[in-house]
Amino acid sequence: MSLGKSVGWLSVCWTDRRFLPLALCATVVFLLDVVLPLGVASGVLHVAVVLLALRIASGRFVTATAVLCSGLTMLDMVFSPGPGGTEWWKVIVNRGLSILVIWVTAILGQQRNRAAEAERRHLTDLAHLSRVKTAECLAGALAHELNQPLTAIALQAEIVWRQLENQQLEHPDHTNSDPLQPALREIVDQSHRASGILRSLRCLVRRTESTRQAASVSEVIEESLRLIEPTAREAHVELRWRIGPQLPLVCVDRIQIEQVLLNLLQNAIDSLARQQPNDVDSSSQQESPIVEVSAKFDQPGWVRVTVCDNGPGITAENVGTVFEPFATTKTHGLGLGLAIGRSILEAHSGHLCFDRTATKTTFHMDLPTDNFTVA
Amino acid sequence: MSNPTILLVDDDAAVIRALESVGEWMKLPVRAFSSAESFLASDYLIAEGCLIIDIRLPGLSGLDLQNELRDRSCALPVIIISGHADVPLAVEAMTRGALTVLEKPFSLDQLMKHIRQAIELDRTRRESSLSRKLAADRLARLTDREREVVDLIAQGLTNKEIAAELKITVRAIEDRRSRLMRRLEVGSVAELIQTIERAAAQ
Repeated sequence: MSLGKSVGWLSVCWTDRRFLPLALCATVVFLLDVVLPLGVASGVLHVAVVLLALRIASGRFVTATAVLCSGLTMLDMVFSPGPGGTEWWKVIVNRGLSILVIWVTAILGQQRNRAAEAERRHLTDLAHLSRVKTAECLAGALAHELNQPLTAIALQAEIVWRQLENQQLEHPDHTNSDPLQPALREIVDQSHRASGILRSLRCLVRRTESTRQAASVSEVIEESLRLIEPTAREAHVELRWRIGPQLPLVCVDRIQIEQVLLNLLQNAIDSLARQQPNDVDSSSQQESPIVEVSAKFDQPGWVRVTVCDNGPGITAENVGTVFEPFATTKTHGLGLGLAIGRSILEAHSGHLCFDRTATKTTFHMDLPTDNFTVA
Repeated sequence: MSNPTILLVDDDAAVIRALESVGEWMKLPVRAFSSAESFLASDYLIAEGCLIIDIRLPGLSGLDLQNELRDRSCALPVIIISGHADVPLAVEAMTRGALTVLEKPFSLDQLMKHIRQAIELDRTRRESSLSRKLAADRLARLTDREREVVDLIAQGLTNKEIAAELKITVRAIEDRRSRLMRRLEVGSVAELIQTIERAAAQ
């Protein structure tokens, strides 16, 4: 990039309206700097301006501020008693330090902003995926549940219609069944139309594309743990993890798998959090609430990620409906999380299953390691 | 021989009632099961007719049931019905031996056509397995020597050639030949070969 161009985009920033308060602050610091003797490192105060810029925006905006502050720091030397003074070397070092601090602050701040931005985007992606998958699952469940009665309606109506038709053939003189036939035909047609609408709704929602690429299982787990950590802390649940050595790469849609894992973690934490209030008295005997995540690669071709909690577990009557849509024991939520989880895993040719003992509930997520042909 | 039956595995009462009406309309008995497990526990696995399975069931799924039926060598032709037949699921069902996959709601004609086809297929399968058994029984009646002659006839050899092969007279071969034709209850060489082929089928 030529010098002219860089000056060009810097000046674009300088004419930005948001730049005005920054310029004001920088001027205040500059005036202070002029008033105070040169030996005082008052130029360091420009850091405050840079920090302010980092709060307002990011990227070139911060760079422009840093350039301005460095310029003003140098400009201050014009008002000095002039080169050759006994304090001159101090002035040089002093200014150099100020500029160094300005740029270090700007660069580190930008890096932090970028990381925060990436994190925010990741969370947005997860939230978006969660919404899309919920809609998909809802449409699927609706289509299935409504297609049953529609099938029954269409078939029964069609049979009666045929019977009337036969009667008419047998007794052509009886014409009193005439008005019924078109009505029945209408019932049949409209049931098919209703299911057609359901089908197109499903197709519409189903258009979510998934991008699969090689991902490290341990990275996916670490990322999910990092995201769930604040929730666990708030619920006073201890998170433990044991990730086996040399986990292979898997070819997955990372966001989707993370969502399944997050959902399992959230369920585990919820079940532990619900149990706690009742057990305050007996907490001495009760084990402390723990959620444990582990990953193993001991079966050829399969990685198994396990989420285990020592909560109250799944009751016997709910065992059959764990993965059914709309089956939930929570007061909030649609009961779609595990249904979505299973469909995501199945789309990855994997499995989602669970087992339970008296003290532990364990969910297993099995991912194939050899599905790279999809990529 | 008993009537072919429409066997249905579906957990929805309304769908079951609708299929019962269809059975009544087609003048075929319908036996419904609300889960894969209850069907497997019944003695209808060896029944005649066809089996209609909903792909989504409580407990064992329709696809699991197909696997289980294959393991138990149940020969009933299977029609899969599904609330939402997406392509991968349909392919999966077909590779597991389903005759067809019908998406709900289906038209009466469509359903009846496939039920008829399935029952017809079941009938021909049973007949061919019956005739295979019959042919095998008949061949088992032969003595080793007669069996030897049968094999040579099947290879297309003439009486003379067989006589040369077995080092006996043509006369003896002719005797043996007419005797084994009687035993196998066949009137011509063509029928004889048919019997051998049937017995050897699968």
